[in-house]
Amino acid sequence: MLILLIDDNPIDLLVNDKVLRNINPHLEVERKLSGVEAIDYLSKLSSQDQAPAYILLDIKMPIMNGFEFLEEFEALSPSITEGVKVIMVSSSIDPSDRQKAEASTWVYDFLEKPLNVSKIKDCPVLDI
Amino acid sequence: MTGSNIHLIKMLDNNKSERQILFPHLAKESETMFVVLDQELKIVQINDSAAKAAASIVGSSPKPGDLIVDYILPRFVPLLKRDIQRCLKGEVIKRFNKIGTGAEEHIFSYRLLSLDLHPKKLVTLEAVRMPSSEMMPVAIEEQKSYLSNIFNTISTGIKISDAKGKIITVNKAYQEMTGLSEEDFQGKTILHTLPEDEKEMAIEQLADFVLKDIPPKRNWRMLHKDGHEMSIDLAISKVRVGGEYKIIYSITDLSKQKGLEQNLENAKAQMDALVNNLSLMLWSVDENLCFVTANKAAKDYFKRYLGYDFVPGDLLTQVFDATDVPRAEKRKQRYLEVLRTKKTQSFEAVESFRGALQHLSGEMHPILEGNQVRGISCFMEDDTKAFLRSTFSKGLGNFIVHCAKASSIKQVLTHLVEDVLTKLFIEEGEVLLLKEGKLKPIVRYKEGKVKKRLLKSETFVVKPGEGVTGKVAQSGKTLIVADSATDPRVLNIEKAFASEIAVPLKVREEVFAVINCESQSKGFFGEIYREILEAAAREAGEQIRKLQDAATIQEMELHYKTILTSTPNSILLIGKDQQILAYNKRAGTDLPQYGGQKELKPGMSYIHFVREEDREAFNAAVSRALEGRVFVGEREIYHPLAGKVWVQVTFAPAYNKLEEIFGVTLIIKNITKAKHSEKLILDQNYALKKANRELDNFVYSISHDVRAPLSSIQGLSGLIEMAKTLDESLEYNHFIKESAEKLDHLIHNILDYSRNKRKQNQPEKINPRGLVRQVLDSNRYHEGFPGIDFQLDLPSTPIFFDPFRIRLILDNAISNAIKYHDPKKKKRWVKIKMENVEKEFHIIVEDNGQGIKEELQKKVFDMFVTANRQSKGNGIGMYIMRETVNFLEGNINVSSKFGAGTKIHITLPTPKAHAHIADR
Repeated sequence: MLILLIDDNPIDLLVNDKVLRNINPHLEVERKLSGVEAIDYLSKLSSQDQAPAYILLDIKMPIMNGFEFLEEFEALSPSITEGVKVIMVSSSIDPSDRQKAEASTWVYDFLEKPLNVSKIKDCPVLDI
Repeated sequence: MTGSNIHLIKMLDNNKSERQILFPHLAKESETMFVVLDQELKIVQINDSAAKAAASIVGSSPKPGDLIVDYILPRFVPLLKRDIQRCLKGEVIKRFNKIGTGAEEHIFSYRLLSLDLHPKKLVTLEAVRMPSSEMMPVAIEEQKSYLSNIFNTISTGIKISDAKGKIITVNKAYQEMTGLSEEDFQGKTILHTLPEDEKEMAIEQLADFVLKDIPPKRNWRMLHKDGHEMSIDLAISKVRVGGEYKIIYSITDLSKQKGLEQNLENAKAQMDALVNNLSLMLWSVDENLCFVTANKAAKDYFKRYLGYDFVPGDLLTQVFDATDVPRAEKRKQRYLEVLRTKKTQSFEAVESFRGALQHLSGEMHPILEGNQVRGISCFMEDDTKAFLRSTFSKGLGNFIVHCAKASSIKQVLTHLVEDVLTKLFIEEGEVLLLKEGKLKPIVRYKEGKVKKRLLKSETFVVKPGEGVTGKVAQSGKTLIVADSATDPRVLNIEKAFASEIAVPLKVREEVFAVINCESQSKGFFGEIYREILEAAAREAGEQIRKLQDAATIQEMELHYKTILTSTPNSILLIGKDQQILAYNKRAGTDLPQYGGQKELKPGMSYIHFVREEDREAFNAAVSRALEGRVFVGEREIYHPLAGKVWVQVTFAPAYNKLEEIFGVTLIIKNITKAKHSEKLILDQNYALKKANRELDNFVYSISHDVRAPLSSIQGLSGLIEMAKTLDESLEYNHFIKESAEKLDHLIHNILDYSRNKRKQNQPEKINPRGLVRQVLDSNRYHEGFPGIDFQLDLPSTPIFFDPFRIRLILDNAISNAIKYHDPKKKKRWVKIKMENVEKEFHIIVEDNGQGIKEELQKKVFDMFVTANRQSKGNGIGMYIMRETVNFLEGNINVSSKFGAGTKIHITLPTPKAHAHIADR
């Protein structure tokens, strides 16, 4: 199972990666430091089996924020995007961010940073 | 001008005209009767006193429009009509007729005078009622009763007719003589008892007697009721009563001459008693002007006033005042004229015998025997009281007319003296004004003339309670002093007067002044003067009250005017057809400026002062006000002196006395200041809302930005817990340190932000190169820093700025250039340039980094705007930088091309110029 992590903070990428793999050491984890890089990565995938099962997406990022990423993601080939579950991961407590996330068809859940083992285990969407 | 003010002015006008046209209105409560009549003898106006009198005669009160003749005794009607005709021709009629009303014996003296106060010629009838008790003293009542007895007990038949022979009354003897009752004579003439062949002669001889004083023959025949004829002896005389002659016929039945002489004796004795009891003075002289007879009243008069004891045969001229030769001669001539012309003469005289004023009137009748003059019979009566009343009434009328034009209390009092006091035969008089507890003479007259100089030089002051006038001022009651030499109340007996009267003049029940009159004669002032002077004081008090009321109204009007004049607003009253009716001072100066050069004048159309583009709205507002609604509108207009001004115009309906809308009141108020304040408040409100919005963003963003490194730390500490090796733990610990540093940096930024807000500007000398070096040094740990080529172009001379602020600006500009470098570019550079150009200091930081998308360029300076969340830092760096530049009154400009790079250009006023601004 492949999980794509998108966050501008390398520390958070590292933390999230480690926590996920602590639960399931066999997970494949791809880290991207920006939405631009992530879109670039996804658009280069050739088939659906290569597509990630989950994308853990940060909201507040320079150049392309989480929501802008979702717009670009929607424009990608359905062969890649179909079945991908996006989970927002943010330290924002702005209610407007959460509302916006819930309104998006791609976003399955909203997790508050920092991620830890119990948070991931309690998440009904994320099944690793 | 407001509606109520209009009402005030109208009220004033109405009062004035009423006073001028129908002045007897003022005498509403006067005891003198006033009736204003038109030429058809219809009542125009009648005062209470006259209405009451008329009601007592006829039984119902007359109303305006009624005919006067319906309210007076029928026998008085022809005389009144005649008088009014004469009056309308311009004659002033005076008459002292006594008109009995029968049962009640009311007696009036009346006076007529014509007035031209009204376009329609009106006649004012003025009458004074004289109580029967005064006019008919007991003695006269008794005399009347004697007369009535004599009239009916005397054996001589007497009948009385008018000048045309219509029988007025007959006595008992005459009734017995003719066998007819009193009723039988009603409506009949003297011809009633005459045989046919005597009637024509009777008419002729009566006319001769009435008109030419030729006495008729003595022997007549007369018819008894049963038809038998009698031979009679006739004596005839005429008496003037009520302005008309009454003819008295004394008839003796010659067939019953028996006992006649006895009867005559009796009659003579009774007649003598009667004549001597009359208050009327009677005397007669022969053709040589020697006294023949005089009744008691005449004898008493001669004795009392002339010191003459009557002796028959004395020359009449003895009683004339020997000291006044011309007057004595004049009187003598009058007697001689009666002898010469054989005509009756009437006379009237004002005498002041031994100090007492007397008005005397009487008649001189020639005593004829056939065509021969045998002497003169005279009668004279003292009608001083009626005369004084009449004189007073006339004076009071003039006084009231003059008061209508008086504008000061002194004028009213001067008119009182001139019109009333000087006409009452009083030697000296004055009016003392009660002021601040003291009486001071204000108008004085002597010998019939007002003496102004007399007052100016005098410091005569009386305190209330002192002397006669002082006592009157204190008690409010009239005092009469008969003899000042003996009266202890008189203050200054050295003054050469013998008697005095002082009457209080009250205004609103309070003593306002004292009228004081003096005479050289003891006991000069009787009750008649009390009556007249009190009436004068009442009228003067009323006039002063009216003047004071008018003054109060004028004062109020002045206050209203002051309000209108002193207001900074323009106020106008416009009529229904757009014309300007009135306006205040401000409107007079402001409106011509608002509306072009036209001068504002009453009667102009207001439309000249309204801009063409506003006219429709203006007219609509006026129409609404005319419907009774208040409308308020605002407009920005151009004023040639003040520039653009905001005006507020209030349109309010103006009501007249009848509560009908007759126009619109416009209030034009300059509200420019209020409008500016309003704008200021709106701006401040906007700024406040913005600050609030920023604060909201700040809270959310700061919580995120603070939480982000914190959550990293939390996550890392979780990893440390799970770590299997020390190396692994140490690696995580390194990241914890990095996150902590980031958090620390953020907190510093927030502190910078708040410090910039509060810290004072404290410029210092700074070396620009050292400054840039320090800033670069603090940013060296940023990712990408090592690969960037910093190209510096800095002045070598020191600059002068607040070090904290200049560093904050520079740090933000440079750290952004570093943070947003473009890792894809091989050669990455940041150019930093500073230079002084005239009074400006320029800082330019340019990079070839990622650049900013066009749509975001405008928002880069907003604090924590959602659109700006790409910021790698904490999102408040640019905001703080701009705030700081603003604080230093500089300018910041960002130009960028996405993908190519960004240029930040900051311009700051040089310290000297800046310090100057700061001082200001």
